[in-house]
Amino acid sequence: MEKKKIILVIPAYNEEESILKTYQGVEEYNKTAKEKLDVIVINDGSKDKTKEILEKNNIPHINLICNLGIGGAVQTGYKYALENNYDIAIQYDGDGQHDVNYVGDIVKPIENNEANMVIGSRFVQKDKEGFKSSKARRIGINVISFFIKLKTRKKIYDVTSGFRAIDRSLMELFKNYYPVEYPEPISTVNALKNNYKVSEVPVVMKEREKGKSSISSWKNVYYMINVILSIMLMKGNK
Amino acid sequence: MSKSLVISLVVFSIVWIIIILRLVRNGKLSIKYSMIWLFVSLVLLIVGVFPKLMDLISNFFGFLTISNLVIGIILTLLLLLTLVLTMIVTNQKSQINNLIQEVSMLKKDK
Repeated sequence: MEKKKIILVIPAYNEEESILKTYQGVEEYNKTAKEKLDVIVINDGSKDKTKEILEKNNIPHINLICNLGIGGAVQTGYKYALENNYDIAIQYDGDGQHDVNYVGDIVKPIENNEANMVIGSRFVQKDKEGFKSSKARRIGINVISFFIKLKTRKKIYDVTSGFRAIDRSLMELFKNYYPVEYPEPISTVNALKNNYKVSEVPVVMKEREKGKSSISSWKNVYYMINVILSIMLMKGNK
Repeated sequence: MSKSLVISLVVFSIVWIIIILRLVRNGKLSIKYSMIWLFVSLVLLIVGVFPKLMDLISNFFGFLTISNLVIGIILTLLLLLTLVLTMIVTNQKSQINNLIQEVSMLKKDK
């Protein structure tokens, strides 16, 4: 089988404290792994020293000239991956939540042509250890999961996971439309509605080391309404 | 509908139409977006020219006075206009999004 070209898309907004460590983790992984991973950090107009750190350490990166939000940053990564002929793009957090050792598991269903999108999921195997997010957040995740099932008849467990791989066909889809706010659940529905195959593999996540989650608590109501409306209104093109 | 209200409506909408057409001619308003404004002015003109029609509509919708109906029509038109503006903003936002991404990617290759 032909070797697939894989790239990690790392969106970074004010991640000066963890971005270098994240990158070094990937480099460490590359020393022993049979599949080498390229990295592109999308610096989403950070106000801290993220940019300087990226430049000083020769980390491949794109500096967005204005802040676009997580969706716009990840979409930039997909466009970059398309232009540079990558077969698989993996969204990967810059804050140390994700473990690069699961990349092999996540790309496997795509390499076997069993899926177009693979979500690294905290909830597929109940017995797995690791960070499972707060109680309130998990209720929210279950509600969104219910609406995705309602809309697409497919059960997705970890709807907000930011650790996911997509193949080129989905990069093409997401190049034209990728939600600006809270992109993960909405783009998953978009993929399902267009008859792409989505699967989940179990991963263990760590609690974020530094920085805050992009979803702050007082925005939760707005978040839920926004996401549920987007899901229910999603239109398939095929 | 009172005489003076009719006259002011007609004069106002004609002046309004002239202003819009001049803006288009001077390139300050694109022809595409002038359409919605011309539509608004035309509705106001019709209101002024056919007061009888307004009587009928007013009765049908249960307005107490014609002037209330006129205000109602203007409000509806304003709502329509702001909706169209929000649609334009949405479109421009995605265009700007695209531009930022493409420019940032070009700057990387340099």
